[in-house]
Parts: sequence; C-alpha cells; structure tokens
Amino acid sequence: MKVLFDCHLPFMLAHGGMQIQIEQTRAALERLGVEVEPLRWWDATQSGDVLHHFNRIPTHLQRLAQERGMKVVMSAFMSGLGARPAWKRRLQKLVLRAARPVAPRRLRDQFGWDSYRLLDAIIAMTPYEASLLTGIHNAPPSRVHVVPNGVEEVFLKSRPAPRGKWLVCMASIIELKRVLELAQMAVRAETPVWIIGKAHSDADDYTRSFLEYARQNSKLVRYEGPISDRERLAGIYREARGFVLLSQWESLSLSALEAAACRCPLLLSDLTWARDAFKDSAAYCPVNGSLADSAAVLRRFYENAPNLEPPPLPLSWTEVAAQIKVVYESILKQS
Amino acid sequence: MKVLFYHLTPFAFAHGGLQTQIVQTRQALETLGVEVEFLRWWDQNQTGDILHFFGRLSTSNLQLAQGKGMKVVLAELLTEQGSRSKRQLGLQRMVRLMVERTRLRRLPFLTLGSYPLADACVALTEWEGSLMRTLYGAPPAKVHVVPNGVEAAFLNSQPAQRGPWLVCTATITERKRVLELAEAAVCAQTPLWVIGKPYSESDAYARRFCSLAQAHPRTLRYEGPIQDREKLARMYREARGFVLLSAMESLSLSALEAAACECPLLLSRLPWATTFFRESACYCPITSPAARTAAFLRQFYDAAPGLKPPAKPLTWLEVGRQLKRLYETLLSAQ
Repeated sequence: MKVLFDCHLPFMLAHGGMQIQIEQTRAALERLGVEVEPLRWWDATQSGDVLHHFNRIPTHLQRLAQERGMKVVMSAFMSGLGARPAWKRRLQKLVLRAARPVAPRRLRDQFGWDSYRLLDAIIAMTPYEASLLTGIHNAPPSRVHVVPNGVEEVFLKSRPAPRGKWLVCMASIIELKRVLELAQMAVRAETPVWIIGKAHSDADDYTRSFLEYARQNSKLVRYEGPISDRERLAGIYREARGFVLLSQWESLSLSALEAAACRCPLLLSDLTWARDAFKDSAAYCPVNGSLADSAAVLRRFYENAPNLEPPPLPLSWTEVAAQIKVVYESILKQS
Repeated sequence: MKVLFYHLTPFAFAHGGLQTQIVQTRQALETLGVEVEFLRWWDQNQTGDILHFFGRLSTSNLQLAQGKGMKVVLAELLTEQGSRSKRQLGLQRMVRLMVERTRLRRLPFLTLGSYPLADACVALTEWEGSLMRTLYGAPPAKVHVVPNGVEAAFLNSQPAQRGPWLVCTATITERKRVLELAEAAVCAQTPLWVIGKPYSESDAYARRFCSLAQAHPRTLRYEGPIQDREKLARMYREARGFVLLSAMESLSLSALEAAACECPLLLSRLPWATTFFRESACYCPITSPAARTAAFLRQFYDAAPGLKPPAKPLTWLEVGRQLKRLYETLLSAQ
C-alpha cells in the first residue's frame, strides 16, 4: 500500500500543529509498514494507491485522483465552522441544503460542496467535527471516521516533577491564538504566564503589539520565543502550574494534548472541540468574555490548578496511525 | 536570485500544456543562471526570493509568503474566463464588485484579494492581461504579458513537402472538442490526424472519439500521442494545416508549435486566438452546427496550400529572459 500525502499550506510559509500532525502521522505509518510519500506536484511518474489530503481538497483534484484509480482521504479541519455560534451553523446548513441541489456544477466545484459526498473517507479529529461534516456538509456518515491527534512518546514518557509558579501557553503568535489577550488577562489577574511560540511573521502588527506588551510586563509575561527541543518542552509542561490556551478556534489542539500527556492541568477556551475532547477534565474560559471576567477565570484556575485532577492520557502517534491504516485498508478493499 | 515554482495540480494527475510551460520555463531560466526550485510543501527549510505560482494563490498563502519577505508572481491561466461572452464577463465583474462589498469577500476559496496583493501578474496574452485587470482588479502596472515559448526542435525544423493530412494535437477531452472536429472532418471528407491522449482511458468522451476514428479509418487517423518532439515537428512540417477547435484555451502551445513549423492554422474564433494570431490564422466559430463547421474545415483544407504561414513564436529562452527581467525589477524595488 502506497499513500501520497498532500497539503496546500507549505510548511515554509506557516509552522503549526498541522505540520506536526502530518510529520508524525507519516513517521508512525512508516513504522507500521505503510509506504508514505509527500505528493511531488512536478513528478509526472509518481503513483500511489491512496491520496491523503490534509485540509479541504479542491473538487477537481479529487476527481482527477479518483479517475486514476486512487482512493481519496481527507483530514478535515473544521475549526472555524466549529467555533461559530449555533444559529450561524443552522443558517449555513439551511442555505447549503437549499442551494446544493440547484447550483450548477461549476459553482459546486468552486465551493467544494461535492467533495464531502464523493470522498472515499474523511477523517475528523473529534465526534463534534464528524457531526459538522455529516450535518452541514452532507458527508455520508459511513465514510466519516473519528481519529484524534496523537502525542509523541517524549511527552507520554516524561517524568513527574515539582510544579512551579508559571502557567504555560504554547501557541503561534497570531491573532487566532489570542496570546496578546491572554497576556493582558495574566497582567490583570497577576498570574505569571510563560508564552512559548513563534510568529508567522515578525513584521505583522499583532506580533509587534504582543512583543511590546510582553516586554513592558516582563515580570508576569515571559516570552523567549519558541522551543524546538521536545524533551525540554515536556520538562516545562511537567513543571508548569497549568497549561492555558484561549484561542478563537481549534480543531483539536496538539499542544493541549501534549500538556495533557504531561499531566498538566488545562484551561481552554469554552468551545465544543475542547469540551468534546476533554469533558470534565479541563477548566474552561468563555471566548467572548470581558477582560475582567476572563482575568477572574484565569485567577481562579491559577489558584485551583495544584488540586485539579490531571486530564486523561492521549493516544500515541503509533496508535493514531494504526487507526488510519485500518481506514486505508477498508477503502482499498472496496472496488 | 532563487525562484520557487509552485502549482497545485500534480503532473501525475493531468498532463498538458501547463506542464510543458512550467518545465520549459524552468530550464530556460536555469540556462540564464537563475536558480529555480519546485516548491516542496513539506520542507520547512526551503527558501526563495520569489514565489512564482502557476494558478491563483490563496490570499492567506500569498500574505504569508510576503510576510517571509518573498515577492509573489501569479501566473494563472484564465482559460475558461477568456472564452466567455462579453455579457457573461460583464455579469461576472458585477458579481465580483458586489461580493467585494459584503463579508463574503472573506471566504478563502474566493481568493478575491490575491490579484491586488500580488507583486506581479503574468498573462500569456494581452486578452488575458485585460481580464486580470477588469475581472480581478489587478493593478495595471503589475500586469505583464509574457507569452509561451516553443522548443528549438520546432523552430529549427526544416521545410518539407506538405501532404493531405490536417493535424490536430490535443488531449482527448471534451474541452478540446476533438470528437466534434472529427465528426466535421468526416462530414467534410477532409483527412484529419488527431494526436494526443485522454486523461483517462475509461472516459466516455474519449471512448466515443475512438469508436468514430475506428469507423472512419480513411478520414480519421488516431494512433495516440507522440512524445518525440522532432517527429512531431516533422509532422507539422508535412501537414496540410493545423486545426484546433477547442471550446477554451489560454494560449495553445500546440498551435504555437505548429506556427513555428510554418503550418497554416485553423483555430476557434475566440479572443485568445484572434488577438494573438490576428490575420495570420483562419477562424471557425465554436457554436456552429456540425455541417457549418464542416464547411469551414473544407474551405480551410482547400485554401491551406495558398495561405501565408503564421508569424514565428518566441523561444523558451526569450520567454525566460523576459521573466528574469521581471524578477530583477521586483527584487530591485525592495
């Protein structure tokens, strides 16, 4: 079995969870004996049995692959849709239900409406994402498989350590992750927070505002850039008082899973992806609350963190890959 | 100077003129001393000064590339748009202007912000350039017309005695209208040699074409594609004329190759063709019924030996030179 991985967000342009997910899934599948190659768009001789596309696949690409006898799998990221209020999702569902049957093919292709129906398999990371795929995008339920993200062994096998005073947030320095807002809450609540991550571009306004704010409040906001050493990161999660991630939306945050693997208490945005994945084993903060309210939630979490039950251990990447391998095998059996 | 070429439709899934264009442009630029790499999406350490994207890059990726200090060149083939009627184009422009005033403009797959934000937009013809400006709001100063080139095998080919066959080189797909052309050839009794392959052997349109070719072996010759470029050049040299009646094109490479071999051309009456070849080609409306198309084909067949050959196209090296100049201008503007 040979699988071609494809993604239309080049890693050189943006780092983040999707890159880790793709790299770790590939390595784990190879350990399980599955041949995986990244799709080389310029190589007319490259072939494979399965095309696994990460994120939304253009309909024409999917059709071309299927015409060549390949099975097409998509790992869907429903982060933006999942974070919308229920009334907006209901409205979107109604609009799609009315427009899909009458829209010409060109328009359906442009919006990618047919992809969900025609894909051989769709991988969702949470049951909530799966419900969005079937409920809003009309994906056949039998083709939607829930396979969460995994965590590297270095986190799962890390040793307990005495917890210190810092809350830790590991995220890209971009608006979506709301790291500047978190820093402001931390200053207001007087809870020390260590933000780890890098910006997509140092020139963007949001990054500059964050850096300036962190510099002015260095006693409570620690920022030293990203940490690429995974062992060190695991050590930081083990020594942190708690992990905080208050992003606007997520699919299934890898850094939250890594912190969970290090038994670190979690404070997450009160969004369905988080409740779906962590249920009662995390604390939650509303996304749209005022600065004062959010700071109060942060303070409360800071005080309670030492006594909170640790979240459950996530899967390893090998366990994730084993589930994905089953999906590949099942679709290749179908003629 | 290091340029990254990027395109989203893998060559393994779809062959055609764009693949030739990308490969030949890269070779020409490298001959001129420009370092060109294909973008490896999985390689976070790859770097470049210019991202040359063949297609329409999403606005978010475009901004990310510029945020990394790269200049972004968009080279989209507006094949479909270029073949629309004036009324359809007017309507499309109106819809775009309306969408831009609403929150729908933020929908990522509409990529409405890409043209105004790109550092340069490369069009193959003046017509395509005008579409980039009027349909997608590309700033006129950023639109550059750089046509396709032709390989030396065609430009250096030797004249030969022209025979009875009209030649059509095209992928066997609906858009190229090879079945309709074959039907017209049967009706007009003009021998036609179709060279090309379908995207998929199981495709219904390709099967219908093959059946028709088998049923009329005296008028229709079909033996699949020809990879050998020298052989193809010789065929253009020996052909009575070149015919391409596709429903849409950007700037047909095979028409340029035939022109390089001084082969008379019969093309669809579409703006890409009439604005590029002007008086040096014959034209056939694509909306005609089969009998009318057959009449155009017969007329061209009879007139072909007396027609003036079309103008010689550029070499890929000349195309590479124009692009290199453009890259240098962009980088010097920093």
